[in-house]
Amino acid sequence: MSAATLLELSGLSAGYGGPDVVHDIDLSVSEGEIVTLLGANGAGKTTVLRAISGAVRSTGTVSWAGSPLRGRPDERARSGLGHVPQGRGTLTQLTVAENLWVGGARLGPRRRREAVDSWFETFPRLRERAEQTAGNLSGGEQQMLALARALISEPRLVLLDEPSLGLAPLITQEVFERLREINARLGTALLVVEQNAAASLALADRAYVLGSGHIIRHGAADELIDDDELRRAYLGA
Amino acid sequence: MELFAQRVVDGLSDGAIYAIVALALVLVYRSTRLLNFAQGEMGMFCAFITWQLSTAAGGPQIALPLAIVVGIVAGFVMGAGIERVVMRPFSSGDHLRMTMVTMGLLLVINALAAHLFSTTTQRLESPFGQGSIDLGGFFVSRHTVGVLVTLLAVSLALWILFTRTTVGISLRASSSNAESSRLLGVNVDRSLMLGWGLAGALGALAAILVAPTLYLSTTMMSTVTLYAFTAAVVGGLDSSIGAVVGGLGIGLVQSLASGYIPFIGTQLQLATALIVVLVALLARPQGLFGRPQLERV
Repeated sequence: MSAATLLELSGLSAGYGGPDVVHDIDLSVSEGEIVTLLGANGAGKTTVLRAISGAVRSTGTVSWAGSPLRGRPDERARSGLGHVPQGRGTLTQLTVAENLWVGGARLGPRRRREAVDSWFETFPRLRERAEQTAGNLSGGEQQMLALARALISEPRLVLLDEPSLGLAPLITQEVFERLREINARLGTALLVVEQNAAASLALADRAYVLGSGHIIRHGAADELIDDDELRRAYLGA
Repeated sequence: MELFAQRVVDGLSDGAIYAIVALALVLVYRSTRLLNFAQGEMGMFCAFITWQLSTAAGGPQIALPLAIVVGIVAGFVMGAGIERVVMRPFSSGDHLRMTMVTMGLLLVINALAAHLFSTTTQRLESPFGQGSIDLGGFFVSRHTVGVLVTLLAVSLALWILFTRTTVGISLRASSSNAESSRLLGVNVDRSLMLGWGLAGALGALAAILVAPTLYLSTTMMSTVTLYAFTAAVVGGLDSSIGAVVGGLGIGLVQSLASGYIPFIGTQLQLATALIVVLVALLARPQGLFGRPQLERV
């Protein structure tokens, strides 16, 4: 990868107050790159993402475009880090349009309105439901909303936690196609946590595999996709 | 007929006060899932501030409208301050613990008011003046009209705030899903503080409006707050519209029941409110306008 490193974790350990859940993680994402973090259920994938966003306590360093990334989750978000949490984090009592508006916290009022309009063009289905309560959207629509809402403030990197969770295979496919398209069009780097290893390896440039809280493999996605031993042992395929 | 109309207007006027306090309760409940038992006392304290500034001998005797503004601002500062200093350290604990803290606050603020302003009943003038307005045959006091108009204005202002401004939408976002809002860049802590501040201001406004009819005392808000709780529960604890409809409804039931059912009188008024709660909750457990706790996943 010739592009500059955007996010770099070195020696990161994190947990929820008790013993650490993930240990000594080294991981990097370059500008515009798609990286996937794979692993079995409970391996600590979500914890890594939450540590990057500052939502859990961590030790080690997280650097962001060369300087340390610190502060509360909202401060990190405003510095250009998007995060679509597991379960999509839909603001269920707000309308679809309001959900998007909240996503634009980094933009000024005028840019914000333009950005909402432009994302409605990208996702016409969301525009049709603009004034509906977001809690009434289907799972797939909520995932599209979560994506649009994370991207609206033009982040440099979006962390995606299990974007395929609870979605039908066809919808999952659509979500992954959207991710590819967004990455190509806007150059937004993505760090995707997934249990659906096949789909995310097909999408990603590079991959890391997490087992019991440690990084146990990493490499180019197309190399890992052919690794039979890895599949059997960790990816449940 | 005139008596009936009179009772309806009286009921709505009392109901408007319950509605404003209920709105304050709902504001806090929505963002923290917490019932603030100190809400009424916080308002009472601010009404005393207004009284001290405007009428007390030895006070600065500033004009009543200005003193009211100061009282309401004091309510905001008190609400925001209590959230930041008293509630936030407990925010990671369970709700029962936080509820106990608000009960403690009730006692502390009440005692502090008695200490600073004495327990003597005081008179606070209505900002709307004395006298009545002739509405084609029956008379409504200027105060009553003023209270109803205030409720209307407050409801409208809150509606604009929550649906048309970034601050208000962020506040609703924080209530809806705090964790997700943080990841989107919303300063949830500030939203929480603002919510408590607004609730404090509403509580102060309600207390200042109820003081001219109930007379100002440290116990003034206890029954009002009970009715407001009833209103909030009937309306659905997470619904602002519910708080307003619930408040007006409770006021009406209270006024009409004590007017037309002989044995109720003034002593059993609270019981009528309880009956309304029971009936409403049996029919709709989430309250009239509340959302049932269902979520698509």
